[in-house]
Amino acid sequence: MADKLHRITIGDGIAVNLIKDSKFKHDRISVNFILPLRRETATGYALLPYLMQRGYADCSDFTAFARKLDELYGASVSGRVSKAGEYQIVGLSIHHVDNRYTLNGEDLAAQCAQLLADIVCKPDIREGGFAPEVLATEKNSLLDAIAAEVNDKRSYATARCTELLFEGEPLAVKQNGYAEDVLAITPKSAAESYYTMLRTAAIEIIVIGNAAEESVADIFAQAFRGVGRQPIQVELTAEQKAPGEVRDMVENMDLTQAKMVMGFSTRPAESREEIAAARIAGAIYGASPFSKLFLNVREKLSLCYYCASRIMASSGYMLVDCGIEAGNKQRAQEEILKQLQEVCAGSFTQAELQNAKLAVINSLNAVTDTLRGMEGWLLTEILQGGDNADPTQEIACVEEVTAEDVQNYMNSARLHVVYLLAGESKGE
Amino acid sequence: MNREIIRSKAIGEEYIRVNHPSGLTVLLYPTKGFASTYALFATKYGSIDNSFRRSDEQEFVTVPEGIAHFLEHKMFDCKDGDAFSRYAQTGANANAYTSFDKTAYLFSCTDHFEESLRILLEFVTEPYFTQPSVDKEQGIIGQEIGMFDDDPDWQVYFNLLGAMYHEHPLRIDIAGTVDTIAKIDAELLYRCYDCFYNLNNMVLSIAGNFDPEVVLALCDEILTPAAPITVERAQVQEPDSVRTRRVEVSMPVATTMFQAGFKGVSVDEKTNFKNQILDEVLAEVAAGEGSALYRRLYDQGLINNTFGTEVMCGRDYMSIILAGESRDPDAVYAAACEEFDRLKREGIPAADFERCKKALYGKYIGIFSSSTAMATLMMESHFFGAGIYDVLDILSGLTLRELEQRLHETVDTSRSALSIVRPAV
Repeated sequence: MADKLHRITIGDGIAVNLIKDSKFKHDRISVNFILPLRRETATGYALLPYLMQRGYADCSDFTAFARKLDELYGASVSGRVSKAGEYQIVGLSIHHVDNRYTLNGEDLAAQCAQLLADIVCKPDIREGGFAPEVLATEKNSLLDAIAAEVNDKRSYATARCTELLFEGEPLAVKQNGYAEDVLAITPKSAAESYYTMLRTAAIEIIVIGNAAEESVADIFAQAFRGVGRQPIQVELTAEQKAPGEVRDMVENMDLTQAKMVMGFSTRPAESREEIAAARIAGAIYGASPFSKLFLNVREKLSLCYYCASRIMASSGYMLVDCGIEAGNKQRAQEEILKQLQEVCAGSFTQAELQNAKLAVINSLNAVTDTLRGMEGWLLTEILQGGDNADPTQEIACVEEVTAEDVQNYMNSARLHVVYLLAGESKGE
Repeated sequence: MNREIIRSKAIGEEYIRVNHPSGLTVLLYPTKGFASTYALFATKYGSIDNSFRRSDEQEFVTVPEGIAHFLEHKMFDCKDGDAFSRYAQTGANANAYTSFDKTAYLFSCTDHFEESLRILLEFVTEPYFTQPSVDKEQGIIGQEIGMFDDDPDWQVYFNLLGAMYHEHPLRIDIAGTVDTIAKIDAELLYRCYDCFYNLNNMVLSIAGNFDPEVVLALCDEILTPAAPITVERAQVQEPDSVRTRRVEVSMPVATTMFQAGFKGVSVDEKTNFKNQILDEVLAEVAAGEGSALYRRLYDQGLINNTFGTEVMCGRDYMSIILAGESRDPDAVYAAACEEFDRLKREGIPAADFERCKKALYGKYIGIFSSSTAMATLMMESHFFGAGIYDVLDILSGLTLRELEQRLHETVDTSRSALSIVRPAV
């Protein structure tokens, strides 16, 4: 089993979180830079993981770098950008075989920790800029990733609905940034984004696995020594959107199946108890195969293959999305709202409530079964001001949720946007 | 009951294989320290099994495309409600999927394992199909098919299969089409069920936090011996060549996507299983991130970080696929063909071989940290006539000579094809 979290501060706003757990055959380390999510800086930060995962000062040739990773039993370095409320998170991670499972007893753990520290603290910046040819290639990679957002119609539609829901606010800012801003990035401005990130981000380093020892923290303490720091204070706050007119938006794309997404604001959950109520409300309403949306919109009316709700409890919003025949939009919309009313009115049984708890507890219990699950859990926990390495407390809160809590939470939901992505002349 | 313990020296673990008197093979891999358990109840029956003959019948029967997948959906119907509503009472996360050659019913759970396993064993062994529920499902699956019609990844893949294969039912979408599924009725579903959901053709594969004795006791209680029938699948006369070298369509995508397929040599099931690992090493040597080819294409701006390789393997098909986004897929494809030809001419450098072998070994070790991956690999290996640890043994024992032999045997660039999805103008 996993030991409890051991948290060590190694610098101003830099913490190393160690969770030793011998059940995994791999170890995982991630360095997470937490930054304010803003339209004007999002793209610059989004490009950094692309640049950084291609090599570092002492190994700038990416073929040599890729081969080095292969020699470390296929250790994988990956960079990603994500969004948590009004923050943008730039994460770089390494995932490697634990020392116990190498063929010849190699010590991979120290080498991999040092490698990630070098990637993060010693990027290949020369004369104040990233190498122009590397920058050009990686700008294209980011442009491709931004352009490709349209390829997955379901996630494209939910992203568009979120943008419309929070137009003009930080939550509308896209984590990958914007094509026009990518074009403007120069070798120098990319380096400046890197130095700003290094200086101002809140930095959470998460180390999980059998190799999660203090020696790993020492490697990072050494790497960050001498970095000038003015870190931001992270505080997740949110207010529910003011009520307003429901915005109906149809966009055209040549599609066989239309995608409808309904955007609701909800009361932002501020405590573990409220988050637990939101989880249960979601499971009853539309986040499980026994939910009201699945059983009615899909099974009873056969309107779609999927119809599901997703609640971002801390940020205070909920999306309901489904894939439908465009002509059925009105029927689907009415049924989705009708089922919401059912939950608000408490028209669900004790058995439904109990089943929702079982499903939610099942998924919370499984969090500690994967390295990524544990890492994601801990990062969210830290952002919310907690320090629990596992969901034990959360599970206790889930068990206490009452029907009234569910009704209360769902009653805060207000519809703001109905977004339809459909083939031309197929909408309405 | 025949019970065997299978051990791995490489990772110091073991699992249990049981030939249950009912005919079912049961594979049990309890692990320490994990909270969840993953259980799969699978039949060796998928979308490509659409022409077959039962050992107690004279004639081959041909069934509508997409029926295996349709059957998977309909298995969840029970006399008294459906399996999902039963699972709802245990908290398990349940699902099912159909591939070319398998259908699997699964759940994962952290509590109430025994109750969930009871549901799984019962609903998969008790078909209940009615015409009204079949009619209703045609609407739901129709929407699912529509969803895949709009999915460029799916389209670029199936267009490639359509280009590579002349006759093989791999060419056909797993879910069929709206027209083919319209021909499905309850009687046909029963017919397919009776052929392929025979316990002799199935496996129960479980990994994670559970007690093997509980599983075996439930199997004894619920399963009855299966009829001693076997199924003969119609032989597909698939030529070695590809049907066409190039296929291109337009869709609402932003970047041009491609898949290049190298139609390989299929031997028999067990050999294909081994060759799949060899082909993965080959693909890594030729086009992995550390390869000269990757570097060249990347520097020329012809690929981006979506570029990757994959090996497709089944009982009578094998292919290596390279996929990604590119502004000039034809140039990528030409360069890949050239690289394979060069490796055949000049040989595989020993250093590249050792490096790629090590990297893959690390990847396969990772499987043994995940109950999902373990139960899945146990099931898949079993259907190929192999065991879960074979992947580690095959890799650690692999020699450069063997890999070069395989390269010459399976890769022939004249038997390859390119599929492209371009942005609609």
